[in-house]
Amino acid sequence: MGSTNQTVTSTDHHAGGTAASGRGDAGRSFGGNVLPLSAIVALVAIVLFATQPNFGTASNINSILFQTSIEFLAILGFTYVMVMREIDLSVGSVFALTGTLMGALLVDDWNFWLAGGIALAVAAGIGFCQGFLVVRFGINSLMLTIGSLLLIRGCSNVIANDLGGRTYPREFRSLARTDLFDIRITIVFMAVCVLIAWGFQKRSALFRKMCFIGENMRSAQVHGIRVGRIKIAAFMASAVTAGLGGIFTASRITHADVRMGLGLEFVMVTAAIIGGASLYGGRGDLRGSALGLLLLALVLNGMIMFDIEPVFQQFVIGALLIATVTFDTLVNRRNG
Amino acid sequence: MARRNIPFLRAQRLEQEALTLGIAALIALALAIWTSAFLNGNNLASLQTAIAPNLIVATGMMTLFLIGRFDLSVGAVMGLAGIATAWALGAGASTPLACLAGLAVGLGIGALNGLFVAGLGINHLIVTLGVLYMTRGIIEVVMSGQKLAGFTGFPEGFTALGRFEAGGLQGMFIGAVILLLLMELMFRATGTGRNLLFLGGNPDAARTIGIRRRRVEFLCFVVSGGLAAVAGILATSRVGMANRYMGEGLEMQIFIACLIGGGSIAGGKGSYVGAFAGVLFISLLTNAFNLLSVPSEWQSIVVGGVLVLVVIADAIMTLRKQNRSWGSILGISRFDRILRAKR
Repeated sequence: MGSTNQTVTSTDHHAGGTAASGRGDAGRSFGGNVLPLSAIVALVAIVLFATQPNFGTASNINSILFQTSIEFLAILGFTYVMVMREIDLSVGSVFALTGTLMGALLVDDWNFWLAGGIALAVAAGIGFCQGFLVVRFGINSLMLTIGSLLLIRGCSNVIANDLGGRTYPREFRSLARTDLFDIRITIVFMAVCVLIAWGFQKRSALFRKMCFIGENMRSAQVHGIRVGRIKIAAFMASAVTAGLGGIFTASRITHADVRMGLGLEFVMVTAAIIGGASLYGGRGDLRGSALGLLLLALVLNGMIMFDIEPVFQQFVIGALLIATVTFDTLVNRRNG
Repeated sequence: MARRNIPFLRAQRLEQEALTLGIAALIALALAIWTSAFLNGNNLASLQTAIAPNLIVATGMMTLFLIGRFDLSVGAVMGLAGIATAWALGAGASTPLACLAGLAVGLGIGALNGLFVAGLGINHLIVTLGVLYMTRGIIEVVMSGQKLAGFTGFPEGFTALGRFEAGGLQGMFIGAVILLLLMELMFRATGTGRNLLFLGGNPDAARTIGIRRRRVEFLCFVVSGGLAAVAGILATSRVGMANRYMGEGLEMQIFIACLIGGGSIAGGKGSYVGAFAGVLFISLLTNAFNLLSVPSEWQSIVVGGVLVLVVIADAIMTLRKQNRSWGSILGISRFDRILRAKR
């Protein structure tokens, strides 16, 4: 089902102006797959709703949305890194490090806001270092972030093992259960972010510049776009938002866990590409990324409902990833 | 005109390989001096059997690195091939037939990778990552009714395959080294090897001189899958069991070994000797951490740190080769101006 969501139906020309060259449909396809993707997500939800009585319960839907909203925090910056033809595979590790670090500081009786600030500052520092190295030395971000993935995961596990299985303080545990208008605060945040992203992608010159950089970095540089600054900012945003997601996850699972955020980076890549981003840059849509995450969550939830072995989930994620990218590549080739 | 005197290592493009090998040798020396357990016969034997499958997988991975591709599914393929062999043995197949079954799994998955990457032109990171997930999923489904140890109790004819040794040297280690040397010979002495390098270095130019990119790419993926299966069969026969944990996370270790040993994900760079040096480095490091009983998370910090340093050094050297001055690379333009004034 993941293979039919890349159909380019929209003739939205708003974003077409900046795409200087390359694959011709890059500009046209902007926002074009959000509608079909929403339709698919709705279809899956309706099928599940009709066939499984357990699906429609408030607690199940709430838990799906809550899970998606936390992962959404992490995909926020990640999507825009992908727009610029870079990739940040360290998100899962930064996610774990930030959450565990904040938990560890709170166990040591630090002030709540100070601990959160320090943890997020560490995440921002990591993002800055990665962005700086990529920009200054022209390093392939895939290679660099595979290294930092291991490095940061190691640091995070050192902290987690120091903590043992100790539970975080009550104040921190209740963070994830904070409600706003009777809905989990992260879900509200996700909804707000999607609306902001809509405007950002439609109106902002910065987003056009980012697409331009992804399409053709040299040419963007010649046109006076500050490529380095934008890239470093995106890497920092990616690390900080991943850290934010990590803080909520740590608060949700209530104790240090070395498996936290393991493999998250590949879920992110899958969801972002389902949502319309491309490994070759120049495209990406936060609304699509959110829908991609939601689709993955629904499919996995549905598999549990239908008693399909949970171990088969990996197979489905893998197949979905390949199917989406294959379709994306074939469609692009035909049009461009 | 006087010939420029090019040092041997640079002429053979073995600088990074030599550096990695040297550091690996230093680690070995340090271990031999400071720990009594390193030179113990048991430790040397287990070190060899830990290195051998990695070497075999790295040979396949380096072949892909040369043409600018990589294969993240190797760890899972290794596991599935071992399980397939064990399953065939359990179903009453003879040892050669069971090994063929395992090999067929590896070749099949390799061909699937090749079909998507070479045939349809899909990004190799995505394809091999997806195949990694799918293969792991299949392993979980196959093993879901089994004990944690997985398949055990193999006939002696099969276990002898991985346990053969002669004078302190493990048979599978010798085999892996011979395979590696043969590949290196192919790489340096035949046109095929040079074609791989051409293809990685400049795909467009390679096509104009008549290299059939898709076919070569497809075959390289099949070779990588097949070698991963061989490693899986040997490892299964050595430890006497096939379970879901075999080869888990191996793809990253091999990937990093190839990078440290002089490969580049951009292609057109690397050698099989480098793969050997990289695997040796990673394995000795793991051994050192085990002997000194350092927690495993520190190991991932060190390996990750080394990889980051290698990647940065590689990028700086590339910029230097484009004749960029140190000042402009490091972004200290004032320093740059002073240097230029001196000249």
